[in-house]
Amino acid sequence: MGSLSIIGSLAHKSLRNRASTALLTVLSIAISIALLIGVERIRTEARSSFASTISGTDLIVGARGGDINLLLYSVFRIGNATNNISWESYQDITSRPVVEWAIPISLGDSHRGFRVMGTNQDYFRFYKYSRTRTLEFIAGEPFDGVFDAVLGADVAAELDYAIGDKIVIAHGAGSTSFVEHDDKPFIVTGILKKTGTPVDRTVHVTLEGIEAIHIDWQSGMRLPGQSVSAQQALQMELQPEAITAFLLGLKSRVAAFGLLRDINEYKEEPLLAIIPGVTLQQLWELIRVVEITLLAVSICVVIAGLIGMLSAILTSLNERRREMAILRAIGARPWHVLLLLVTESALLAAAGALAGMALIIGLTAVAAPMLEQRFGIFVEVQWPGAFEWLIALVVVAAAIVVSLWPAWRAYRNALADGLTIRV
Amino acid sequence: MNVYCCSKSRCGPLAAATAVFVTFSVSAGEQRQLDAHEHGVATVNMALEDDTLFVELETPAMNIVGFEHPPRTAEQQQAIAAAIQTLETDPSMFVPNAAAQCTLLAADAQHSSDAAGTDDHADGDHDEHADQDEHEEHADHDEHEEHAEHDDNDAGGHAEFVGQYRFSCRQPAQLTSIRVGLFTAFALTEEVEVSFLGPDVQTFMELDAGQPVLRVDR
Repeated sequence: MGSLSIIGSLAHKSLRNRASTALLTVLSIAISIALLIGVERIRTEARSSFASTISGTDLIVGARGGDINLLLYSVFRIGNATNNISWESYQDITSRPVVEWAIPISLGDSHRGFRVMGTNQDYFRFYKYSRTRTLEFIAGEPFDGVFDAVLGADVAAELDYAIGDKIVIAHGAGSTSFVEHDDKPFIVTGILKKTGTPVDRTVHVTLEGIEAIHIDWQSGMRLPGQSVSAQQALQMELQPEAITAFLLGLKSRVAAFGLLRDINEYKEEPLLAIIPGVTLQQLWELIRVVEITLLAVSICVVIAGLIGMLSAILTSLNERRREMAILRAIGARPWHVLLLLVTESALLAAAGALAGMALIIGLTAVAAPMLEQRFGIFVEVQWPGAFEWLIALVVVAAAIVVSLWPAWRAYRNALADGLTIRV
Repeated sequence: MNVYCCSKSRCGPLAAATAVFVTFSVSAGEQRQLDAHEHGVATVNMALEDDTLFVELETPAMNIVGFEHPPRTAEQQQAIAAAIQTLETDPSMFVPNAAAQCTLLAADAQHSSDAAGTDDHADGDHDEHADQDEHEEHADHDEHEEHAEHDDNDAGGHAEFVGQYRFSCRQPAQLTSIRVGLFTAFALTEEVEVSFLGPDVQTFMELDAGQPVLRVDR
């Protein structure tokens, strides 16, 4: 064991002696490992973040179109509906005996870049995320009046709103809309607790509120000369004619497939029903090719990093021939020389792996807020898990295997050269 | 109305005729929507409610017996009967993992044809084909020729096998995987699309002979 610890300290010292080369090698391995871990982490985080956004909902119903599109706009506020669905169909389907609860959703307006969603009080009772959690309020309470609004945590935090503030809703989903429903402001009555889902970035109002602000509008513009004040609007019939989609909870899970079939064959209106978890899984199947490509690319980068290390060691072999010869002269055996080189590469790879993990932790800390804001993906800063350590092990093992080649050459040289070497 | 015929090389007279036919036959008030029917692909829906696992199977008859026309010979009759027998009694059809301790309580399989022996079903047949989006995929397959063939025989239509299964599980919380045995029993089944609904998991997987096990991650 004595000779092994000597080799360890020799390897360490020899690396320090060539610090700049060693550092660059470590850096290239670190970057490649950070990339590999980062790709995998974003993949798994995106999945769990999407999966935990909606729980306990058996079916989502919208206008007939793509399954994935319906899921994305109704739950993740990504993209837009192709069509609305009629209130009659909503009432017809939700009055079926298997339906336990229903949450209507009306989308299309925005407030300073945040989506506005019209819904009813059931949303606060039945919407679940992260398996079993329901929405909670950090301030105020669910909306009650037509012009009440409940803000997601991020909306309130970023725009600095409090209970009682007035907000004006803009027509359309752009962040700078010139057509605003400024004659009918909403009053903030509640602010939701942070959920880590797109709910945080949503302004919730009543369906009647959505109807009221559009009462004197037609084809996306206010009708000239026909202004209806907020007070007048309250007196009018505010029953919505159409909604964008609705979520259904059923009394029995078994009924889901039957109702799904019924809705998809609904004769009165072309509707589409999806099971959120099933459609999400189909989405992952769809993008699996992309994931595999990304993974393959990052594996290639790791391989490139290892080749970089190999070339650095090979280049150094010649200049280290005298060093090896001296080692031999003071009693090192040829296999000691081999072991020295292998240890050096293992140290390089291990240092690279550790640095890579540190790098990815730093990067997630920096990028997480941006990912959340732009894509609604919540990435937690985590310590390396089993997967990361496995990657580190594999890379170190690969480095050892790769280094056997230069080590073998050094071993042969050590056998042949003796002390009389001329470099 | 060219959905029927997406690959130019296969635009035979039949497709052209269908297109013309459809143009003239779209009459008001008639609903013509059909379930997807893709040869080689079966659909399985599973739901776990309390300690009961429900499984429903829907598969084109092509995957099971290799033909979709109404049986014409005694052999074909027999093939259908044998298939139903297998679907109902083969214990390897759906196998939940042992830890869940599930036992099969009931299994019921049927053969159904939507071209239920009528004189005018040649017309109906054309309607169906033209209405089906899935046909774009069909055209890429070799099955397309077969379709043409049974259209000629005036005995087309899509026939299916449907099955319902009910398991009782003593440890439903331990249900983590279900093996689907359709691939071994019916070699023409290439893919099974499985949807699973459980108390805290909804999932979907495309299974094939190389990967016949649905995993339910919780």
